[in-house]
Amino acid sequence: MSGDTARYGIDELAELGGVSRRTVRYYVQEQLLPPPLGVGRGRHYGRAHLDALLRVKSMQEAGLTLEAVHHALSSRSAAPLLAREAFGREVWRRLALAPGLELHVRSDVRVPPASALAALSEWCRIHLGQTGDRHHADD
Amino acid sequence: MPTTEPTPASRVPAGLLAAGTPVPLEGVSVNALVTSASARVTIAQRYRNQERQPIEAVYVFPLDEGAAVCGFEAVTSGVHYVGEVRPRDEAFRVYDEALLAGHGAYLLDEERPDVFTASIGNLPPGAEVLIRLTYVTELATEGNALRFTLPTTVSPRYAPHEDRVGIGRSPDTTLNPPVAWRVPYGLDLTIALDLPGAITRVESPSHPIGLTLDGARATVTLAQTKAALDRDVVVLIEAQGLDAPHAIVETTASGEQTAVVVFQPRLEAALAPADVVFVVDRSGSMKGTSIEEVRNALQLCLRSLVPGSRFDIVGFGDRFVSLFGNSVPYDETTLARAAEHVALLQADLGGTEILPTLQAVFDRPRSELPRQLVIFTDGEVTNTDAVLALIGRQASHSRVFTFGIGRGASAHLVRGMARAGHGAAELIYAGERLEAKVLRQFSRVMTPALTDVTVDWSGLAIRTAPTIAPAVFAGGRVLVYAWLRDARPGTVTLSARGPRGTVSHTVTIDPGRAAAGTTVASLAARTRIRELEEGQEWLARRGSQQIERHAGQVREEIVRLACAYHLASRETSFIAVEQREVPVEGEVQLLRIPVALTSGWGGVDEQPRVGGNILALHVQDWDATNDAPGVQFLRRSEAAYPPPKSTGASQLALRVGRSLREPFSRESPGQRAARPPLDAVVALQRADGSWELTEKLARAVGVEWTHLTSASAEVSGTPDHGRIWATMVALAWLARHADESRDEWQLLAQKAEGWLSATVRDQASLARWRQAADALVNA
Repeated sequence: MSGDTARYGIDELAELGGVSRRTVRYYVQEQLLPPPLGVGRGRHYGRAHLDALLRVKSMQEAGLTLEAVHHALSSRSAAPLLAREAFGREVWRRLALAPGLELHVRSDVRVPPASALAALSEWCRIHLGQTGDRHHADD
Repeated sequence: MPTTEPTPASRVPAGLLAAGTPVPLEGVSVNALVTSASARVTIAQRYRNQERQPIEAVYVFPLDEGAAVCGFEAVTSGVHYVGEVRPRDEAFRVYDEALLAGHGAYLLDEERPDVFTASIGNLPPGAEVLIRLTYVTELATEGNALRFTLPTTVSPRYAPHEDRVGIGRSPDTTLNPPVAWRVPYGLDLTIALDLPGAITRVESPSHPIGLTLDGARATVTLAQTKAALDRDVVVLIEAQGLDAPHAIVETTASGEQTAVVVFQPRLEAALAPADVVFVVDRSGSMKGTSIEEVRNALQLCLRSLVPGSRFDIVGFGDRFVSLFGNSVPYDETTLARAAEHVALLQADLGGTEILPTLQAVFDRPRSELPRQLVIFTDGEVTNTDAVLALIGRQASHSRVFTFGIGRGASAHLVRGMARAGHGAAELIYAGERLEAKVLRQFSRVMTPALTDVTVDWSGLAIRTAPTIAPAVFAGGRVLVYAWLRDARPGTVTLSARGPRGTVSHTVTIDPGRAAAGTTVASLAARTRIRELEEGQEWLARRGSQQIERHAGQVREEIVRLACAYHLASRETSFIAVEQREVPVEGEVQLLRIPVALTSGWGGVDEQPRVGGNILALHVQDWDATNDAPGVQFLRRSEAAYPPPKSTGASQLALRVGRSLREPFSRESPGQRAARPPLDAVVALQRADGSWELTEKLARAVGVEWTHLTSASAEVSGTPDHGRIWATMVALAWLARHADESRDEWQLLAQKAEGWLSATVRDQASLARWRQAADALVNA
């Protein structure tokens, strides 16, 4: 099969990539792989999917967490396999306060109590206005 | 830009749910039947797609860690789609193919024995589906009570680095679903009790409950409909005849006969010194009430150590810190230092690196004393397998006892560690009275292990589960299952060699009188599967090719058993497919259902969001001659989703409250009313077992200081007379005022008696002074 016109079913892609079918589906859900082509039973994958799959897998094999893989892919960093130190050393928690608005708390800092977060969230809603509907929040 | 830890909090749509984040799960309804040896539980989850496109709903939820999931079905438009058991990957393939073809598909995966994932595939707009799963489970015992636990939420778990990397989905993301402060779906629960003798007590440390009682049968409901799924539901049940050895035999539809024998051996505790290492989880999730519970429990443990013991306290989080650096002899100086250390203990060490901590403790040089680890944790980690494997490898020389702390502790880790380490587990719910549990646990810690435990089936059994007899402790329950050879009656004998000779219990089994059923068979198969899952070769993930081959055989055996007995397992999933004549088309939207953050988790939420009071029902206070059930409200139809009652929850709770002799309500130890005086007396005991003659003691036993000292004239002239007198008085007080909780202080009394007989040689004086102390206390 020549490179560009390759057409794989999900099982075939999983086998070529050396991963399980679950993993392929999970990567698609996590947008680490582009969605399959076609619809319904005609869904299939191409060369680009296999390349992306192998890239993600190799990064994971190198010890990157999925978050780090995401980061590397989205920033189009020239050397995604750079030392782990670049990723995952400083750990932050993200708490959504309102649609489109997050509070970032470093892991060694105590998360504010629920009552304070609720108050803060309420304040944001009142003073910053409703920034969007849930479709924005999902983005 | 900081990278984000893939904690559940990072995916929390906190406050968004009200703003319309779609949650297709509308409610959870649970029905349970509790009998003497097991519970059968049916959980119904109702989903509805309120979106404009088809959805795939994924719900990660907890189950009892001993659950043998034996049934799974989807009900939609009045049609039942019964799930079948397939190897995990095959089940997923069927599921995924069905979704691609536009059919409906329903999948249940076991992620861990206590964490499951339900995937509700391709639900068209407006559609509703009821997922019903059934499991059977053994019930834990606590003293004379059965403990029924229904976990309701998956607490955020700490993932060490190795669990955040690896190909595909990491354990970190699998076991940490999105978390929200509140979720829009609630819980309804009905528990039917059918026990061998009259029910004498039903109590819930977690929720206000309603009770309908009729002798050996009862119905328990939550006083509140749509309760928050943010804490375990715990119900303690006492009934007559629960501790009698008994056997249950069942015949399945295929004619196979299985039996379970239940023993609760009565053994006298024979205390002996040990090398005790307390291992305390001081990670962030322990903040708040949990660490407070640990401080209280540890103070009691420290005073229960047998003279001649050695001990140390190791706290862990991102790193671990040891109080003494190694075990030190137990004396007044080390006790004082430890007590001071414990009083200041905080959950300030960050992550939950339990594995390297345990490794370091196991690596310590061993003394001549038997080594016992006592672990306090909420168990919220992803690397349970690795921890259990490590403990299992050390089990020949180190026993492990565990305390599970909090409203959503991982029972799988807490009980699993005790199983692997041939010890025992106690779960302490926030606010639950912990003294009895601590002292009960400690009498096990300070008792030499029983050796040569055997269960003799007198040739009746083809095979048993577990295949190796479990650890046996005084008052602890032992359940052993067997597949029976034929219908011949016979006896089963449990025997164990203890420090005071061999003890044995015998029960008769009669397969001729077997009932039809599958509960025993399901539990027998689950027990065997668990033994395989938690076995050494299976848990040692990396190893030689030989181990790999063996692991392959173990996997095959798990799949064979699970398919034959229709059970979910790590290797098998339930799958049901709804074949649709008209396929549902359109992009399927993935909706991961958020779970509620465990109440009190990490101290972030000290105020209960819903309910949460403790109500106890002391049934013996009721008029036993009254034929009518004790409480008649809250009778509920069998409908899975009753409409909300017009009566408010608080009113219901009040109506329960009026039936009580001593209704009490407490949320955290910090908010406790006056502590029972027993604790005050116990807290004053010295390392050697004696008490000091002090004003504090006088206050604790309720005697005027002058009165106490003047009465001590009886013993004056003897060296140490103050302590002898004080010890006599404390013992007399315990016998007089705390007789009901004798189990709790028996250990301390033994220690005190040991000190007295070593200090006072003259038996006649001892008896005379004892009388004087009795007279003083009884005055």
